Amino acid sequence: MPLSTVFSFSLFSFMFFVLFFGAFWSWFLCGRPVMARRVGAGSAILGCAAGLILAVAHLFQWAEKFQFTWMWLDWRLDALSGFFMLPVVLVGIAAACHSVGYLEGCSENRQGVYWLFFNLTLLSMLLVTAAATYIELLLTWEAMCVTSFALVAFNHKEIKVRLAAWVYILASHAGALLLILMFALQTNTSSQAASIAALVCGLLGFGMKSGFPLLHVWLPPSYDAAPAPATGVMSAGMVNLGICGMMRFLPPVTPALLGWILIAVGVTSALMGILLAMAQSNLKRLLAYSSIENMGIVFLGLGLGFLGMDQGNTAMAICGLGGAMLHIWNHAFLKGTLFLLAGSVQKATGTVAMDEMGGLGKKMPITKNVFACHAGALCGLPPGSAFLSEAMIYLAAFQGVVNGSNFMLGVAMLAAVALALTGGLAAATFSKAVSAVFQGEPRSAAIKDAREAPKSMRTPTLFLSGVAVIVFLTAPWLWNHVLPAVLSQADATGTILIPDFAIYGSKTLAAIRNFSLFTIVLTVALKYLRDRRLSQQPLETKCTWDCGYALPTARMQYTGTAFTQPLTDFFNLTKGKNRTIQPPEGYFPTSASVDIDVTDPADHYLWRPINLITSRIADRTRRIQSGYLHIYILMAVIALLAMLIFAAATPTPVDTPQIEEPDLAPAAVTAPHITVPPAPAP
Amino acid sequence: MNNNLYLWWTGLIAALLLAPLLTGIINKTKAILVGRRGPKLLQPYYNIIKLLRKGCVRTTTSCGLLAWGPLITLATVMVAMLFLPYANQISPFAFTGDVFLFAYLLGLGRFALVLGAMDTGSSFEGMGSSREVQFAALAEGSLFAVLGFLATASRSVDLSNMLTCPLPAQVPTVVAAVTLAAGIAFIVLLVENCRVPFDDPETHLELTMIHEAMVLDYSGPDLGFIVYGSCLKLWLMAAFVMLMLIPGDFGSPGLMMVLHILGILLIGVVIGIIESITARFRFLKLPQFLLGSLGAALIALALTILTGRHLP
Repeated sequence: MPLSTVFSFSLFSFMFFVLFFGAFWSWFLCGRPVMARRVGAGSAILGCAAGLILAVAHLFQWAEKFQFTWMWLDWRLDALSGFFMLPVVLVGIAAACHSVGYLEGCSENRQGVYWLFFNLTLLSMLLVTAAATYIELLLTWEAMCVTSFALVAFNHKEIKVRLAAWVYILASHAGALLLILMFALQTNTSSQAASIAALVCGLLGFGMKSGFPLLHVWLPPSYDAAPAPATGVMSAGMVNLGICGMMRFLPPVTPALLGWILIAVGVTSALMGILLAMAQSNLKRLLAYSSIENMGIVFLGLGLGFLGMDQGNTAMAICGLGGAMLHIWNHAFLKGTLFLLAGSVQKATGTVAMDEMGGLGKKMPITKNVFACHAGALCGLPPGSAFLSEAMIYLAAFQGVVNGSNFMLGVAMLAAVALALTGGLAAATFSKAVSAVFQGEPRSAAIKDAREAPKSMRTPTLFLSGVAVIVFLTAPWLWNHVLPAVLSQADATGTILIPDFAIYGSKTLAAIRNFSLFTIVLTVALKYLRDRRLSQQPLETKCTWDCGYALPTARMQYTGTAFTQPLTDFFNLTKGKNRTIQPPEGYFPTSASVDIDVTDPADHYLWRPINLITSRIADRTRRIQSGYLHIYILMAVIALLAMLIFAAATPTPVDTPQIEEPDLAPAAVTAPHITVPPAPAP
Repeated sequence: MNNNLYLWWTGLIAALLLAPLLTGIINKTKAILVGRRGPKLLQPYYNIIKLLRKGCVRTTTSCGLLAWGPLITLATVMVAMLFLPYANQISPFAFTGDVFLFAYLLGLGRFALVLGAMDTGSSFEGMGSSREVQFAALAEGSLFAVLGFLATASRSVDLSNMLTCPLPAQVPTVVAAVTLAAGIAFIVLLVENCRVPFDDPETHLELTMIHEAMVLDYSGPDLGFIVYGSCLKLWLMAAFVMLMLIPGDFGSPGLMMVLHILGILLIGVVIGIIESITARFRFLKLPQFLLGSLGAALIALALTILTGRHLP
């Protein structure tokens, strides 16, 4: 046994035991909250640190990839597991620290419960990335759904939270069911229809976790309901796992089909996500919808990449796939931090309603600065790390425009325009978030007493910012050395692209990074010049000019809702019956109000009617339940008779295929590599 | 084509020095057309110098982002200027994909200015910013459609090659496509620089302002930076449109430089004429107009495809 294998194995089991027993130990310490917190947070951080070493070792190929059997189950550790583990462990460490401050004041015996499920969620997410066959995937997937359900339902005394948790568990199980169906259908390799059905089930099942459009309705309410650090972990780690699952377990298909599907999904998801994010007045929901948007961008990149593979356009394939992978990390670190910061704001003010905040920037300067930087970065603005990945996805689209067929050109162009619109709308959304929360004057009394978050809540956000900065600075190196190894582990992308990775992209990444740094330097230089110029005169401060009105109040400033109202009206998001207006009346109006309820169209037009119809049908079928035993027996007899007749009528096949055959499991994993037509010289 | 770097650097320095002149020319044109004498051609220079000399008043509401707005806006425009091929010379800083950095740097400048404006807590700044982000978000699509057209026509993804690639001027559909795309780029210029018919930089009513309302609370060097930054941005976009219309290499370096600068100043005259003869559009109609321009840009793209893709 090579040394690195021993190393990985021992680290893996160490991580498992620390997280598993730490979870239960802190639960047993329920009555002693201080101890429970120490044990819970300590084991989460220790376990994640072990996971971090494991992830980094596999990501940089210091440790060989290997498959092993442990606890009677098969696990696989390779660069791909490392890639998806890294956000989980890093955001896990930060969220564990942040939870300590966040939970302060929470009823004492609840803290142990929180740590129990927090650690178990982390553990199951890490195990999902290491699942080797379908049995492990389904087990860990289910464990992840159930444990994170408990986190979503943590504040279960609020009706809103209970509802969100209910939707969450339903959606999770629907997703898991689709995955079981996918694996069952995959066993039938001969039939074309079965393999297409398997693909659809797989995409929907994994897409359920990654916020596919129409399947996303569980995401915003549950992110809103869960405690902020838990949401941070879910948004940074869990949404990506859908993509991880797709890369490992999706049945083999032609890259063209996958490409078209993912582009369609990506464009819809990105535009719908950001439009709905813009309309939110709840900070956590805004961030949740923005997660849907960013997953859309990732899918768009993957789709462009697969299309490039299909067309033999190597540059497009590499930029698309690589950009999408890089965006997964960027989104994870940026959004993880933003959720933690939203938690700090929630803790300080007791609310997440942006229109009641305002002026927090002066009270929470560090939180404000980190939030503003991360918000700008997440819009894809340079010098943020997300711009690097978005630029690569743009580059993939433009490679399609330059070198593709005419039809391809049209599609790639639409993708680029959609991405551009998404970027513009994201800038609007996040300037709304920053300005409504941190800028201006406080809009309600609760805000006036807000204090800066304690050190235990500030430090983790700074830590994650540091991670984002490192990703930004090392992006060209990651592109050349890490991403090819990661992509080569995925069945669908295969090994064919690896040698070309260094040719495309890394120069662009390096140039963008350098010019972004130059912009920062130039800004600082201009600041120096201006400050030197201003140092000769005393700097005056006065109240806001406001066209000469001498007594501006907080009620006069723009709220977040007002800020995006032209755009939300234009896209018809908040018009009509969702808006209740009580206009000011008389010469000296005393009260006026606008009440806007932003309903998710997918929820309103798709799921609610489906629920309604289902419950109606269920009501009808209740008539059969007459309560008389003899009628029930009669029905049973009729059903049995019908089955007998059916069985007699169908000819018996000679040998029935057995679903539980042992050799079927590997078939799901080691799908044949898709051959890519030889790429023309660049 | 041999690339003359001296010429490019001259172009960059000319842009940095002459940018306020473009604003002066627009104002002069407007004044002449309505029969006024108007401000001096060099008035924008005097304004900027005056502002840089003055002291600064900042609002007590600010949480600190206010002071960063002008700096970031100016710095981003300056960095974006490095990627243009002045006088049809390939920029020494060009790299594959610099168009995206170009477009997003302008986006960053706007984001910083919006946050700076919102930092005052004033309803006028709120109104201006709210409109600014709306129009900018919609114009972004048109800008990328134009960039897509340029990429298709020139088969490259860096701004210098996109704008200097010579196109066959004898094919009528090519001329039509280029003109249409340049027209859309001109519309993007008008939106990005807050000109009529999208915004009136000289309006007197704060309620109807967009860009001007955003900078109401800036004063002194802060305002000077913003004014100079918007002059640079106007020059930048005007050069972009001009280079789209006159690609290719011609004549001696000196002639090219002169034509380059004259072309940009001519665009200033065109803007001045447009501002004198059109009223601004209703706010509610603007988004439709912008999405319409996106459609038109896609038509230009379709025209290129019909002509047989890769033109040169």
